[in-house]
Amino acid sequence: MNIEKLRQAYSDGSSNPEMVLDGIYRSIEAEQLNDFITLTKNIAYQEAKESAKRHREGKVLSPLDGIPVSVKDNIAMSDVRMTCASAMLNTFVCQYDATVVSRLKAAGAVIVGKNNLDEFAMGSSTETSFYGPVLNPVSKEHVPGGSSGGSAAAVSAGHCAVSLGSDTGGSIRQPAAFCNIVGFKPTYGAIPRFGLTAFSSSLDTIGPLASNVADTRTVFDIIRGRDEFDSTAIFLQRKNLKTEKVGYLDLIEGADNAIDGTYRENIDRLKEAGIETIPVSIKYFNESISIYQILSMAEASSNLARYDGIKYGLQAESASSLYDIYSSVRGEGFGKEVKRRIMTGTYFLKYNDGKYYSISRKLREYLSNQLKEMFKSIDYIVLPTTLTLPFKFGDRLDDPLRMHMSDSLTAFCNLANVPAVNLPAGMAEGLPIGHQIVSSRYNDINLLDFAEKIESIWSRK
Amino acid sequence: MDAKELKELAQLCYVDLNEEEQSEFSQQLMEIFSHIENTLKNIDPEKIPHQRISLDKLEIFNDDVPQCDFRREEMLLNARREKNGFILVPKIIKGGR
Repeated sequence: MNIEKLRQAYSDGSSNPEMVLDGIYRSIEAEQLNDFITLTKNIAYQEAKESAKRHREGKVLSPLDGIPVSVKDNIAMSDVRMTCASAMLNTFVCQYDATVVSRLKAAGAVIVGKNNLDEFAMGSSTETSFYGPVLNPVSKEHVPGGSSGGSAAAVSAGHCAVSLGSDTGGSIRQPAAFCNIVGFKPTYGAIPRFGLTAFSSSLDTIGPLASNVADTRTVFDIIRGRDEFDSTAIFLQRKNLKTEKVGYLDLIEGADNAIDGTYRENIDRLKEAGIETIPVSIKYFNESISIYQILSMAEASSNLARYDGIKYGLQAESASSLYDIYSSVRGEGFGKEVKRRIMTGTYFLKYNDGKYYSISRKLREYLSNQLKEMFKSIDYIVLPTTLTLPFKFGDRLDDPLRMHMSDSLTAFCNLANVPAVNLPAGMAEGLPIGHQIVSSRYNDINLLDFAEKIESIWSRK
Repeated sequence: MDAKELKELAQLCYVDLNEEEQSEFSQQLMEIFSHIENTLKNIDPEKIPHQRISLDKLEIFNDDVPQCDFRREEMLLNARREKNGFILVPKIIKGGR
């Protein structure tokens, strides 16, 4: 399912948004991937009906009019439950739309439902969801990745044309790689975060997942730009770029043979297509996952302090002290991974006089400035999105450190606030491989154009 | 990390741990902490050039004007119990009437 095909069908009258919705809900019911936590059928059919009328009357609002989309369940949608896949928010109902949701609605998009995810977007397999794991449509024995695993599975299975996910350390790109689709993490601030449940505020981004780059761009153009509710939101303009020089990493430490082999083949294909490629190395690249762990978990330990068992979410029946209210509700409402991350963040803020937190802040600045310098001589960096193929359910659940390593190749982009897009890059053992294209801060528009070019080169296999 | 240290850290975080978590977390957290510390311990912070992250595009701030977009009834929709327009919380003060 893609936007172009749907628009063509709406235009020639061979289908309409209501018929498409019928098929989608039948398919969600039949396939049981657990990619949605809440289906918004009533709202969707109302939107589809209005869109069908606009199509009949030739008053289409945007390229997204009547297009089925889904939204990760950590993004607010008015009058709809938002759980963040946590027992803590099992009955929480939002009272406002996230900016991205109001922009989708204004464009006439039909919102199918709210996607399953790792609890509070903390995980790499969607196994930490209170509502159970999501199945990968490519191979149901393997995880779909995470934390936007529900979004990636929904796009891959054709349960929507596009989904909005969130990416704090790789949570859009890694599931996109595992489900064989496109996933785009924009420059920090390019898409407003108002209405996104905070995990790590200096790293969090919202972005689209879609079956191709063209659809990714269509959604990006509709939801991006300044926002009166988010002071970090910016309006991007196209940078004037005359070259397309690509940097690649000579050595990917810890990568599976299948990933490494495909990566080298794909770099060769770029060379064959006449694209200039040069080897690069990024200082502190191997340390970036540890820097990310400290900074993201420190911010999470502070952000998740809001779940106090008083105003909303899970609330205490009785308690003997204020401490008891907080700790009993948080003990009951948070799952293991969320607790481990809050405790890790607190540990690095509290112990050793915050030494490692302070080093991480400095290294983040260094990484960021290093990439800024590097992008003066090259335009893009291409590297694998993951070190491994999709893994099996249960493989890493009891080994949280190994699970955290799933973000080893993606987190540096969030630390440097630069844009990156995952593209399908091949298959091995019947499982998908994804590569990401990274660019300089604010160069998102050129990045998507270049990604579309690479998409056509790599798909000609 | 022994049981006492784990308990102290959990208390700092205001999270109760159940028995399963108490038995699993000591080792899991130690592995995570050790891995991170081992990765970063040989880096001398004095040798990292100090440069601020560019904030060139982050100067947009809204006027600080109080606004009230929500009605009281809406604010109370997600509260478990309410009375007279206020959220009811468990009683924690002992004694009194």
